[in-house]
Amino acid sequence: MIAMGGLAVDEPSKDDTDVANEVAHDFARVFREEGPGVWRTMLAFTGGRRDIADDVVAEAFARAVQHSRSIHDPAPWIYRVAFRLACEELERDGQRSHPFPEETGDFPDVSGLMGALRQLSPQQRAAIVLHYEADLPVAEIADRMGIAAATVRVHLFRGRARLRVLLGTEVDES
Amino acid sequence: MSERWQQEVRKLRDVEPTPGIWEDAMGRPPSGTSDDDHPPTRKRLIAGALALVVFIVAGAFARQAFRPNDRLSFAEPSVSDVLRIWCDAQSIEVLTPVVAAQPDGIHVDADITGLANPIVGLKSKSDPNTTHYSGSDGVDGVFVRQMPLGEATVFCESGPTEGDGPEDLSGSFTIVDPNAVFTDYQLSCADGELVGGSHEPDGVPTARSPEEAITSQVDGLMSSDVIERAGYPVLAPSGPIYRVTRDGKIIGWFLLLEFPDGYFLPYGQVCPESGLFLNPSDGSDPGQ
Repeated sequence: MIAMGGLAVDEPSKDDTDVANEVAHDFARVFREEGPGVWRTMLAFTGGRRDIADDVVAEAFARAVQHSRSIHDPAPWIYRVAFRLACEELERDGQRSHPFPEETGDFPDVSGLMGALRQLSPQQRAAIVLHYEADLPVAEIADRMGIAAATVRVHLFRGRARLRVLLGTEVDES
Repeated sequence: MSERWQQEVRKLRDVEPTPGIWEDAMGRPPSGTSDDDHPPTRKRLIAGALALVVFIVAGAFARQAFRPNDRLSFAEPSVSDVLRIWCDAQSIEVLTPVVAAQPDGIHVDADITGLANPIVGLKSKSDPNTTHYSGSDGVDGVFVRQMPLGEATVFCESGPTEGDGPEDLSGSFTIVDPNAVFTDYQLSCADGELVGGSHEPDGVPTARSPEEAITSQVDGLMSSDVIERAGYPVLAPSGPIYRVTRDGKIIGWFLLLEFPDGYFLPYGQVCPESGLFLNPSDGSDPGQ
C-alpha cells in the first residue's frame, strides 16, 4: 500500500502496470481541481437539486477511487458516472413530476438562472454549463456527457436560444 | 463582452459546493456495481479473453438497447414501465426509450414547457396511419394509449393543429413486452392495406359479437381462418382489436366499436394477397 494525497491505494505490480497501463491517480487532487466543477454541473443538470448534486458527486468520486486502476482519465469518467447517477436519481425521485425545489434560497444570486435552466432539457443544461461556466470545448463536453460532439452543438444551440429568451441578450460591455 | 445570459451562467462559479463531499466519498463502502469497473488482471491472455467477452456482451447489449434518439445517453438503458418525455417548443427528449407494455396499454408521462395547449402524439412504425394523441386527458398527468409493440415515435405540439408535429420535434422509442401482456396483430406481410375508414355505420349495427361483425362485414374469409381478440387485455375506450390468422400467419386486423345494439367494424388492415376486403354493406340495418 502507498499513501497518495490522503488516499491509501494498492500499489500496482509491474505486471498490472504492463497489462492495463494503469495509473494510480491522486484523487484528492482530482477532487480539488475537478470536484467543484462536477458539483456545479450536477447542480445545474438537476435544476438546483443540491441534495442530488452532493450525493452523486460523492458517489462518483467514491467509485473512481474504487476503480482507480482501470481509469485512464479520471475527470471525464467521473463526469459520466455522475451524469448517469443523476439521471437515475431524477427518475427515481418523482420521475420528473416535481423534481425541482420551489424555493431557491440556497442560491439567491443564481435563482433567476436556476429558474431559466429548469426551462431547458437536462442535456441542454449540462451542455450550457460545461461550455459557459466551465469553459470546456465541445469535444470535451461530448467526452464528459458521453454523447457525440454534433449532439452537444445541437444542445448548445437550443439552450442558447432558450436562455436568450428567458434571461435576455442585452450586452454588458464590461 | 458577453450577453446577459452568459453572465448569469458564469455566476454559477460563485456557488460554493457543499462542504464534506470528499469526506462523504471516502466514507462510502465499495459499490461493486459500476459497469465502468473492469477488474485488473495480471495476464495479457486473460485480459484479452475478458475483453473479448466484454466486447461480445456489450455488442449484444448495445444492439438491443441502442436506438437513434434524443435520450439521455448517460442513463442506464433499461426497460421502463412508463414512457417519459420532455418537450419544449424547440426540442424533445425521450428519457425512457425502451418502455414495457402494460395490460391497459402504454403509459405516457410528458413534462412539457413553453407550448400553449400542448398535445402529445404517438405513432407506431407498424401502424403509421394511426396517431394516438394525448387528447382531452391533457398532458399534466400520465395517460394511456394502446399501440402495437416495436419501434414508435412521439412528438409534442401546440394544439389544435393540423397534421403531425415537425419532424425535428419527434423522438423515437421502442415498446417491448417483457410480461407477455400483448397479443400481436402485426401483419405477416410488409405491404398491408388499410380498409374501411368510416367511424359511423349507415344504420344501426346488429352484430351481437365482434366475431359476428367481422364475418358479416369482411369478405374473403376462409372457414379455417382464426378470428381472435388481439392487442391489450384491458379493453380500450376506442374498442377491441381482433386479428385474423390463416395458416399461422396474421393476414388482417380490425377495430371493433360497440354500439348499443351491436358491434361495428370501422376499419382495419389486411394483407393484399389474403383476399380480405370490406364488403359495401357495413353490416348495419339501414331500416332501423
